Amino acid sequence: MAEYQQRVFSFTAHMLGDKAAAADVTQDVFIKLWEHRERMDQDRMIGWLLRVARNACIDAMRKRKVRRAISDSEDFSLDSLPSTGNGPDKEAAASLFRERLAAALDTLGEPHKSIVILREVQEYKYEEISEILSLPLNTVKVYLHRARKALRQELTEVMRHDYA
Amino acid sequence: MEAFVDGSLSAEDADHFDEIALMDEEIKRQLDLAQAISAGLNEMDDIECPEFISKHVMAHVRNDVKQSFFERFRLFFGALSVSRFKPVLAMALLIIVVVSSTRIVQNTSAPTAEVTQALDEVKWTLAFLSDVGNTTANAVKESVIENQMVLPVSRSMSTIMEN
Repeated sequence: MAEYQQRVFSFTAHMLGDKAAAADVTQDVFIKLWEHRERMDQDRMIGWLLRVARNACIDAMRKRKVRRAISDSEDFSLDSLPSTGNGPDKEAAASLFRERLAAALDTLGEPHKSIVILREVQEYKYEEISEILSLPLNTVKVYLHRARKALRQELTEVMRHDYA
Repeated sequence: MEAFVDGSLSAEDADHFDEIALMDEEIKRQLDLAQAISAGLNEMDDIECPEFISKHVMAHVRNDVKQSFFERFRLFFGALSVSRFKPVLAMALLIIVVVSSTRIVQNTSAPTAEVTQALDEVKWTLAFLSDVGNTTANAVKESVIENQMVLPVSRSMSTIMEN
């Protein structure tokens, strides 16, 4: 159960970009699990948990409009994409890139954002994502492709804006 | 490009794509960006779940269990407030006390099978009543009382008295 809690919390934290809101949602999800415990199929529990968490996140986002703040005061260059090298400049660039990436992720609509988090961040298989989101397998792949493309476009736009 | 980044291309196709990327500056930039995005996303999953979440959930569960127990208790005694039930319950309890006392005094003689069965019926009827009270919220229908309790207890009483 602790592992499930970790996965749900991590998912909601990435969805909402706010740990406090993610803690509230995670708590509500597991209370709902308790209330539905007699009807729960153990094999499908994690799928159910993530589905409920996602719906709760969507509701929370509508109510609170939680967004990550983009730092406008720092420069960012495609030439300084994070690499394997060390050094303070590269670390700073890597940190900024992660921040920009998180902000770009936040611009994605649903279900693209959920699919990116489940596939790229939490490394679920396509079949598992298909079951969690109740979407056909090919639809999941198409949405993921579109989401990746949108992230590339968003980050490219951000970089152009910085240099405008 | 995504298949290349995912590592799902065959070795031959991956090499071919790599050659193309090396020759085209724009493709190379997009590929670098795609790889950076993939790496960046993979590094994201390190948000540790705070311990207080499980504590809060368990506190809710414990409270729920406690409420459920008190609710069952309340429903059972609420069902007892049905006026028609009171005399029957009183009689059933009296019979159990009398028979139990008789069994204690005459401890050498075992009760007959009929008396044993009658006592069981009284006990099951009382157990059923608590379940009925629990499942029918605030009311116990008269038809249930009549068929499921009054008649069986009356029969059991007759058997016990005859024996």
